[in-house]
Amino acid sequence: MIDYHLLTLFLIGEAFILLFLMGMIVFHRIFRSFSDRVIAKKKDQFSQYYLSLIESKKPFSVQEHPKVGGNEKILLETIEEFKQRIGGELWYSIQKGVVDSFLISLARKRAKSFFWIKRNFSSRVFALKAYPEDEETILKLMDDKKFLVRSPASFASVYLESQRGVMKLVQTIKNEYGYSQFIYLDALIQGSEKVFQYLIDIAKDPLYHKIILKVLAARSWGRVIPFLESNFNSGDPEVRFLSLKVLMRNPLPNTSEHFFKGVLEQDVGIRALSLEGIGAYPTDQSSAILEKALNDSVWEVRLSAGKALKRLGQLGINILCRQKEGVALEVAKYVLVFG
Amino acid sequence: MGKKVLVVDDDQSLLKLIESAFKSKGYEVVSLSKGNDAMNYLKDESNVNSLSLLVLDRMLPDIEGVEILKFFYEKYQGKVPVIILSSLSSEKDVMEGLSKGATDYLTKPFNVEVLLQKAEKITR
Repeated sequence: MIDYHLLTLFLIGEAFILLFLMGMIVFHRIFRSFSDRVIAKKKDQFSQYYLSLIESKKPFSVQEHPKVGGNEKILLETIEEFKQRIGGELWYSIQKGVVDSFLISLARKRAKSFFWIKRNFSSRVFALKAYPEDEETILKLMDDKKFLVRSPASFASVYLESQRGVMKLVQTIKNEYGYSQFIYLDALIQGSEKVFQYLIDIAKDPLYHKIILKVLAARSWGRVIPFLESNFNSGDPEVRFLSLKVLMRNPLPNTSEHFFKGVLEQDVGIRALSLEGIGAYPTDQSSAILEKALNDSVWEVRLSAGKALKRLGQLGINILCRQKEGVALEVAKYVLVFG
Repeated sequence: MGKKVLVVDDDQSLLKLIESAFKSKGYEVVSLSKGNDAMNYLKDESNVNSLSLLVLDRMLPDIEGVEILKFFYEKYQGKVPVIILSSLSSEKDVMEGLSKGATDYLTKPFNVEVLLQKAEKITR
């Protein structure tokens, strides 16, 4: 038999829970919009102060700085936003002043926190400015189980020019997969001359040689890379391929020779990359090689040759336009429209 | 009359900073934060005739800065120099900006003093 009394009580209970949850949602929304406004107001206050300093070219002063009063997270976000937009000595001195006066001591305390949000705060502060005495803390943060703590700490170690930090980063790139690798590579690419020297030393270890080549390939370092020449005699096609990539941005005295040799390789990637490199040397020999490569058996290689010809300017465009038949005509048409 | 510069950037703080920097050097400044507004402004030839420089953010919320640049270059054929501001700093992005008609390309973060120096040289 149905107990209507119990059923009614149950329904009333459910209605109360529903009303309570709705009330919580409404409260949360009101609270959120209020807190968003407070945050925006505080951010605006900090921003206005920094803008006024930059406009009037005045140095940072703790006394004139708006009160922080427990709003260190908002302050950190404001500084990070400025860092994305403004450069120059004046801004760097303001940034240093703010970090030294309001953030670094808190970052040091929070680095050991149980809560990852606090450790994340620490890492982000160190990524703005860190001192040699923070090296151990940063190295520990680089081992954190949370990626959002590890990644800013990696940038901090590079800014600090920490040799152990750079080594740890290279090891991390070897051990981690996917998207996170790009973040670590990005950190190393932003490294200084000193970091570059560490990378050259680490590259002596065959275990990390290819990783270092990937880093070196992503930036023009303005230095001759000592092992590059001998890499072209390596039996490993991946090493030769990566070395060509490095060569694209970091030339050697005989750069073009390596590209001309690369065209004769079996490896498709090497052939395509070499043709791209040849495109930077507008000579009759280059044009002839590129035109011949328009008939290569592999689309990727033909496409690379076509694009390189287009980059040569009118001379290359004339070569593309005179293609009459077969795969060369196909790739020429494609490059002229989409390349 | 001083030189006139049009600055287009959706970042209000940065826009204000650039505006006041140019004003401090005696420029007359028109500041716009929307791509569509910039497009409408640039469609009017009388506005462009009085311009000495266009400073354009590459990533605007409503229209790509590059689209504005393309339109501007096709219509006025480099009559007014353009400096692109962008967080996109790869060589490919810089080359794209320059090939579409920009006179110079500044990647963020940038130094406002450097922007002023470049503007001074370009508009001389």
